[in-house]
Amino acid sequence: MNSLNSVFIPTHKSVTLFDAPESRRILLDRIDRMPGLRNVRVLYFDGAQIVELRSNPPACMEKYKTVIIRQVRDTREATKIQHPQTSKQDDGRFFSELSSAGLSCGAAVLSWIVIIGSSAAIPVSGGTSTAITVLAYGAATASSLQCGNSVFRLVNETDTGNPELNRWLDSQEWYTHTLTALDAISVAGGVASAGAMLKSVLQLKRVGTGFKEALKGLSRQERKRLTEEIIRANNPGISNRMLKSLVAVGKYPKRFKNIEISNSLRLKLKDAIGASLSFAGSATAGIIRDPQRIPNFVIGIVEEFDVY
Amino acid sequence: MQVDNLRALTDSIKAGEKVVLFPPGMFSLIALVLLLVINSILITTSFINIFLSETDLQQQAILQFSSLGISFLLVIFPNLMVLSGKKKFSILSYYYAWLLLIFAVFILVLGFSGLLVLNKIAVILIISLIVSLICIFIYRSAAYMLVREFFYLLKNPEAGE
Repeated sequence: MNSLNSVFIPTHKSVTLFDAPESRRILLDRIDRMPGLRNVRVLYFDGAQIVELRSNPPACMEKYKTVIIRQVRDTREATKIQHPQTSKQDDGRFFSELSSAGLSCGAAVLSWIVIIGSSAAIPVSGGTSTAITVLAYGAATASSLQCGNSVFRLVNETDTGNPELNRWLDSQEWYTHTLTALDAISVAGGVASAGAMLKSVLQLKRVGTGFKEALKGLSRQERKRLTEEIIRANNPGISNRMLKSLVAVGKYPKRFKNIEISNSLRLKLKDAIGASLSFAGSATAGIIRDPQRIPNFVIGIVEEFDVY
Repeated sequence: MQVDNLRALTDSIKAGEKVVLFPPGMFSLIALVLLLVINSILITTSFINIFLSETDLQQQAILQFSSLGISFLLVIFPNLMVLSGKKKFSILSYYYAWLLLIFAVFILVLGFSGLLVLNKIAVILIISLIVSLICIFIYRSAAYMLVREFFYLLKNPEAGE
């Protein structure tokens, strides 16, 4: 127990879930009601530091006992602590981190493909594409950083890394908030691109054609109507006369070429795939999967004994 | 692809005659960015394991996040600038790749000469060394030069004339 004495920190710092006097009183009352655990020492361990909730009783006891309450992220970690031999064979965490890294890095690759490709698709989608590109810049940056973070976590789960660093990071609010922010940025990029895709589908509906047909190619008349729809979408409230004059001065073409339309739609499809990967990454390890981050606990009892 | 062909391609894109969905050499840029970000993490992990294994988890976590910040400044931001037509920013990624390579070699040499105890971390350092070499190769490849020139010609109005 000397090793525990050397690392515990004073209780005045607000670090445990039992800092409120009422919740601490209820906890200690419950422990006291258990046979053989009256007035025992109680420690709280959050994965990184130990806090003493109640010290040893002043009266001499035959044997000193300590109740240790440890906060864990999930039931898998609890099983690992309870049954270390069996959980050693379980590489669940490693494979979870591996799949998370694969999804994050896959989403990052697609985000970069979208931002590089969207730069060349500006003639068709006009201002919309530029706005989406700005959002995609943020999403690509966020997903690249998420990819880096996933790789770091993956390395930590291997023999060369330090798995405790992952547990500690998970217990830190600033870390979860940063990841949530990165998640939100990459999901926002995905939502924006999905919105742009929806807008394209609606524009195609208005000219009486489907997404699949548009990818194959449209007739001259359909392309002309679609071009007019795109000009109207980029210039809300524009009159017919103004529209014709914009085409006449060459600001917009009379009709977009088939290749331009199908390529712009393909880009939006890629974007949608990127968005779905961002969602999948978030659902595997981010805010969609774990919005509440409800704590789990493992409770252990340590009893001192003398050896002669 | 020759420069004249590239210029003709960017001119036709500017004129709205063509849409290029996959610009030439784009995958080299993506590979360079992601490999350098991953490599930063590998080097940071090695650094933590060798020099900071005795420090507390908080310091290790701060170092991890600072490595992501450095990755953003020296890898992601310069390559976003390349996409905006400012090709000179790409040199930052090149220097960064060299820095990571030199660091990995330095630590490995110290480890193999017995001055440092590397154990299993040597594997990560060797992977990092290989990734750094790949990054330098990508930077010097024709594909990366092509994508850099493509966006330079596309985004600068005077460049194509």
